[in-house]
Amino acid sequence: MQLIDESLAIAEKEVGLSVRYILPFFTNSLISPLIKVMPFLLVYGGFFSANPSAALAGHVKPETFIPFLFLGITADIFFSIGYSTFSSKFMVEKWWQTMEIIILAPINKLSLITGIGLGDLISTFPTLVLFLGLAYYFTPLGFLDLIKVLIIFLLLFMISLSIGLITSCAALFNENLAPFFGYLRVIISFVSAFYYPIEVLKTDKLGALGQFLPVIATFNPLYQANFIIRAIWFEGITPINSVIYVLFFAIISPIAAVYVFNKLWSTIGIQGY
Amino acid sequence: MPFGIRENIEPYSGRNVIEAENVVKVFKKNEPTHNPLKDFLFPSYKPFTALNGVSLKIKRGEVFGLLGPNGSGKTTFIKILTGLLQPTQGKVLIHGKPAEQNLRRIGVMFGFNMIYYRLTGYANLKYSAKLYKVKNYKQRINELARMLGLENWLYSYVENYSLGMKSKLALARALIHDPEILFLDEPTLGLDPKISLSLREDIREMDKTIIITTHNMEEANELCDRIGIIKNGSLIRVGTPAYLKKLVSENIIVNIGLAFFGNELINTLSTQPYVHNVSLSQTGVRIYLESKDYLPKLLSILGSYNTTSINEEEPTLVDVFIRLTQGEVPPARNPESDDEDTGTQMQEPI
Repeated sequence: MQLIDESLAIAEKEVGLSVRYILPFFTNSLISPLIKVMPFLLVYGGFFSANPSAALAGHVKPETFIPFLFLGITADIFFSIGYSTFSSKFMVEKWWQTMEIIILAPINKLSLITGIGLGDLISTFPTLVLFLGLAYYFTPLGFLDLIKVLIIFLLLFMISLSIGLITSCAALFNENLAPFFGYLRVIISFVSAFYYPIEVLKTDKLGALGQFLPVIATFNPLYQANFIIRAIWFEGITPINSVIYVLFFAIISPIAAVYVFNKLWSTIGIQGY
Repeated sequence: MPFGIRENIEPYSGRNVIEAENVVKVFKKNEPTHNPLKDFLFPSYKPFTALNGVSLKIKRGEVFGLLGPNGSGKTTFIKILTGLLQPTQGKVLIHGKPAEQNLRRIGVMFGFNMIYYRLTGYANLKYSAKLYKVKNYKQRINELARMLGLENWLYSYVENYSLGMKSKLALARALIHDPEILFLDEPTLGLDPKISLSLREDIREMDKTIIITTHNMEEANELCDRIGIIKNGSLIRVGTPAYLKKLVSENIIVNIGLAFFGNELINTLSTQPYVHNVSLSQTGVRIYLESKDYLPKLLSILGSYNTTSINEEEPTLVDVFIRLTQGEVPPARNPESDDEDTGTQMQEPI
């Protein structure tokens, strides 16, 4: 109950800050993701226009590449927000000198993850509605399957938030490390295969990388979440093993993240404070 | 506490609510060489001792002032007392436990920081109220707004507030959960005298243990039961304002009104061994004398000038501060037990 109250308080504050200036709120929610997915739409669209009977690996076919990309952009948005929200918010709060409010408040630091996550979820709601709505328009699915997909997106978000809390330590404790965590995000994004099927990497043309990368992706819970979403959306099946794997990470990662964060906090402190 | 938190706080019956023992804080100070490549590849860090073995006990209900020059370690010490920073050595206990276990008991104000400018005053207070699980937070917010004169601005964005209102909002935020102990870091910094006075009155009416850092001597003199003077990370003297003034009581300050005078008078006076300080006043000069015994010598120097008035005044806390921090009065070997005259009756422990 306490965790819920704290999370709601933090979420309310975050939403209040987000909607203070309404235009950036909508452009960040809607226009930026559209710009991000546009190159992939153009490339896939161009390819399938020239090769109408072709099919790439996975679920990328002429009739499914659009919803494939919209599901991918939704997953990428949740990952990007989850990964970078803490570092950007903490950096801003450090400059605003409001970080002390969180440090000095008698709250469970786990509520930072749930509260900020909930605030971001509310702020991301227009994006979710737009892209999932478009994906649904092209390939409708049953209500129960839709609920399952939403739950998997939430689990993906939770894992991303947990990774983000650890990387936010760079923002707080040593700003020199921030760029490296930025590059790490690109690597994680690549092996999560948001915009392409992982099968395209399983090629001899890439040499050892072609053997290595798909293995890495298989152990990546974010890729597994993508895999589950695509399996439910395009095939109507729920891969139970992958669900258990993702659920395990979604439970363990916030606890581990809070532990690491508290440990670093108490030993290193905030740079510049 | 009518607006207290839902959970019970263990009662504490000790006399000292805050105990700091031999607190040392050493920072790693980055010293750039102005060669960007060298600074990037081989950054140079030197240890910087911000606090050098500070020990202090603060009693329940006491208003304790921490004075010191800029960079003396006041804010660092406050941050360690509140748990924002960890000491390199030593320990700090609040109600017999570390600060992190006493977050509900303490309220902190760092000037007009710790408020969100993009939110309204009400949203700021509501946020803190919810984090501290304050019951009936709406009532509490309205009560604080009335007390601090913020009612008409509560629903405006903080970015539209004046500096004084931001300070008051920051104080309201620190008080939202009715803490037993209040830490105020420069609460009246940058405020005009009227707002400062209003804020001081609000603080004076609170029945809490308050630790306040300030450069405003009048404020310290008016508000504090005891004052600690900190210099270069060390606590050099602790005592009531009356006791600290006694340290320089043999000194007197003489205000001399002069019809006219020039720099040569100032230079002549400044070179006298019994004159600590000479400053200009509206009517003439203000002279800080070693003792009354030197008054005749002083008057003999002024004999050739047209003296319009002479009056004496007791040293103020400003004078104490200047003399202590300039090393003209030696620091106490043990500042904590230096306090011979507590001056006021402390609140009896519960």
